[in-house]
Amino acid sequence: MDAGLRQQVVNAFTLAAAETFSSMIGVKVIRAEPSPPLEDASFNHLQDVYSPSLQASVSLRTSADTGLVIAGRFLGEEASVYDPSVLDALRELFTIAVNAGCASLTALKMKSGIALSMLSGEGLLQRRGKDASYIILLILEGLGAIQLEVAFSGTA
Amino acid sequence: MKSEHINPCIEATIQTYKTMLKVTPVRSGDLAVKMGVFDVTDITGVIGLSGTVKGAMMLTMEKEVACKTVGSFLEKEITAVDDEVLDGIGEILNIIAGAAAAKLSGYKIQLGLPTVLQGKDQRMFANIATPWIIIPMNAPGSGRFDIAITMDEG
Repeated sequence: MDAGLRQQVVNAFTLAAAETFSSMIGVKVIRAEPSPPLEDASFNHLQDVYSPSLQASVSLRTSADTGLVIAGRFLGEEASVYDPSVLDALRELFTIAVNAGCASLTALKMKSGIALSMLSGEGLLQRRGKDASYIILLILEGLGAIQLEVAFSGTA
Repeated sequence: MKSEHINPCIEATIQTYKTMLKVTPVRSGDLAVKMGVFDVTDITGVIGLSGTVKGAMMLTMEKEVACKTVGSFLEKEITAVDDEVLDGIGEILNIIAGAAAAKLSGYKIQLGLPTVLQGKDQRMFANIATPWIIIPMNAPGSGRFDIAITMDEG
C-alpha cells in the first residue's frame, strides 16, 4: 500500500475523531500532530479496520484522568472511577469515532472489527511490531490529550 | 461461541509451542468463561478475528513467563521485558491464531494485527455478546499462560 493511501486513511480517522469529540461531548480538538507514544496512557481502545484492499488497526489512548473527564462529559455526569458505566461510555464514544472514520472512507468500503478496551493501573505500553504505524496526538480544548494510532498490516 | 471452537485453539497452541519453542504445553486448569470486564495479567497480546466471524484471540502471561517464552523462541536468555519480548509475544500469538483459524473449518477467518500490551493490574473488556473462553496452559521451562478466544458468528 502506498504512503499516500496510508496518509489518507490516517487523516480520515483523525478528522472523524475530532468531529466525534466535538459533536458528542462538545469539545474541540485544537491541535492534531504527530507524536511519540503517550507515556501516561492507561486507557486503550483497540479496533481492527479492514477493507478488500487494506488492513489496519486503530487505537485511541488516553490517561486515566482524561478518560474520566471524557466519560463524564459523554454521560452528562461526573465520573470519578472506572466503573462499568464509565468503561462502556468510553468504549461507545471511541467506537463511534472509529466507525465514523470507516464510514468516511467510502471508496475503500471499510468495516470495523471487535472493539477491545484495556485499562491499566499503571502506564500501559502498547507494541504493534514493525508494521507501519502513524501516531497522532489530539489535544482537546481544556480536557487533555488523546492519542490516535493507526497501524497498517505490512502485507496490506 | 461454540464448544467446537475451543479444541482448535488448544491444538494450535500446542502445535505452535512444539514447533517454535520445542516444548509441549499442557492444560493447567479448568476452562473459565468471562464476560464484561475482567482482569488479565501484565503482558497481554490480542489479535482480532474477522471475516465470517467477529472476535478475538488473546495470549496473556506474567512478565517472567513472557521473558522465558520469548527467550525460548529466540534461543537466548532474556531477563527483562523489552520491545523484543513484546514483539515475540505478538508473533507467537499471530502464529497460534493463524493455526487456529486454519483448523476452524467452515469459517473464513482473517486475522487482524497483533497488539501486545504491557501494564499493571490490567482489565480487559470487549463489545461482543459472546463470552471469552479462557484456557489455562502451562509450558515446561517457561510457565503458566492463558490462551483465550471470543467469537461471534453473527
